[in-house]
Amino acid sequence: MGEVALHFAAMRFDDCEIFRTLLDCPQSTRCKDAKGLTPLHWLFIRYLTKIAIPQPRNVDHQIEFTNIRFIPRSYIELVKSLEMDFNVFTEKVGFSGFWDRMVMVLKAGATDEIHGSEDKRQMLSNRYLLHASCSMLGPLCIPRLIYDCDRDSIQRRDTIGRLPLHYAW
Amino acid sequence: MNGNNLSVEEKNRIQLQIKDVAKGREWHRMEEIVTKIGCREVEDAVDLFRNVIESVIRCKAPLHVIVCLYDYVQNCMDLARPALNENNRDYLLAYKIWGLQKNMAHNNSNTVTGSVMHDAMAKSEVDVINMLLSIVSDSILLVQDVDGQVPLHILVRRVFMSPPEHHDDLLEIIGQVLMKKPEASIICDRNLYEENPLVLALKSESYCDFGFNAFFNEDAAEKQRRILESITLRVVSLILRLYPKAASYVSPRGYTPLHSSVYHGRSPLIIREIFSHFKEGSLIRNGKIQSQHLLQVIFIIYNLLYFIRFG
Repeated sequence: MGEVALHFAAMRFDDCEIFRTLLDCPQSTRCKDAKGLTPLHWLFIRYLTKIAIPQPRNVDHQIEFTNIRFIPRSYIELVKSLEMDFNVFTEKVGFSGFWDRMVMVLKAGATDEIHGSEDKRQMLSNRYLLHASCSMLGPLCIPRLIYDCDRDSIQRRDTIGRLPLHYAW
Repeated sequence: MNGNNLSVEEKNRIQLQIKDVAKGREWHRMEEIVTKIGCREVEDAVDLFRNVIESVIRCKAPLHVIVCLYDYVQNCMDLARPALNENNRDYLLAYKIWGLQKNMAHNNSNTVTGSVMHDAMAKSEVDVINMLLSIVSDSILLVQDVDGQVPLHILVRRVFMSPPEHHDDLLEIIGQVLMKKPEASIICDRNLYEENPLVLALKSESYCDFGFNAFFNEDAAEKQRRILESITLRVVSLILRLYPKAASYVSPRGYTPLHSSVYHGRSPLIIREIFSHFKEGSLIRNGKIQSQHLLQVIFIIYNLLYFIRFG
């Protein structure tokens, strides 16, 4: 309960095209549901769920909405094991799909939080991914995951000279 | 008097009587005669009533006479419908038919518990629906049946349960209904999820059946899915074109059509169509009902504590 449409898209791990449409209204990236989870949380949960629970081949995903809010018990264990070794997950099938959607959500969220003139928004929206992930509400694993994929990003400054740590603070 | 026991002379006499009454427009006497005969099941009597109805139709009887006959002539429904003529554009009387049918439903489980229009939308040929739409008051399109459904609910459901060759005709009727009463597209039924016709179209995958036997055959299932997406897009576009406000309607449970479309896994084209009509919908949260539940729980706990404290 308390979900916006983007939550459902994340819960269903929907098509990128649907994410692109819904992210035309970037404010929705910051909405929390009744459990306090943002769409980014759900995207991450669903990605881990897909890894943890092999999907049967003949499931009709069109009508698989009864399990839409399902979080497996093994989720916490998966997050813990993720903290130990990210490579286990980045090498799994479906990671690129998760990455694409996550980047879309982060970029939209980063653009949304910039206040001021359109010029300023344009200038500041070219932030790096780690900066965006540090400034947005979401699972802590995501900045770590980005850092793990691109270690140099932690020392990179954005267009106004800020490090990711500035945003995390 | 029973129709089966009528002699030929008596039948002829009654028929002549009816014709006289119809010509003289003494409708109160017509009611008396019909009540006097009072037989439903005997074939002779049905033939007799067929004549009665034909007379009534020819003489343009007021709708209440037809309503009076309705109770007796269940087998002549096809004749009774055309009797809803130009002179009878009265919502209340149409509603009376609904009441009669509702009473009849207690005795006959096959009867639809809605208005004539509900019945027509569920079963009748396209021509009959067109005829009814042209002669009956537009207000009947907003009458809800026992489940809270308006005729548009039933029509939308029928589109997704008909073979593809019927879709064009049915969509045309949806268009006509929306031209007359566009607000019918946002009337919620009284089922658990309180859905309006637009949402019913968006969740069509849960009840659709185009007759492909798609459950056992993957090719048929794929074909069904393709047709489903295409027809859903057509229905949604049609509703939103004729009543754009439908996209911004928030149900009592806090769901917008955008929620429903994403929740039920509709295609990006459909989602974009809804999103383009109501961009702000992507910021509306569902589950207003939750706060009401919370208030109830708080109320119960308060009462409980009060009871424990003061007895």
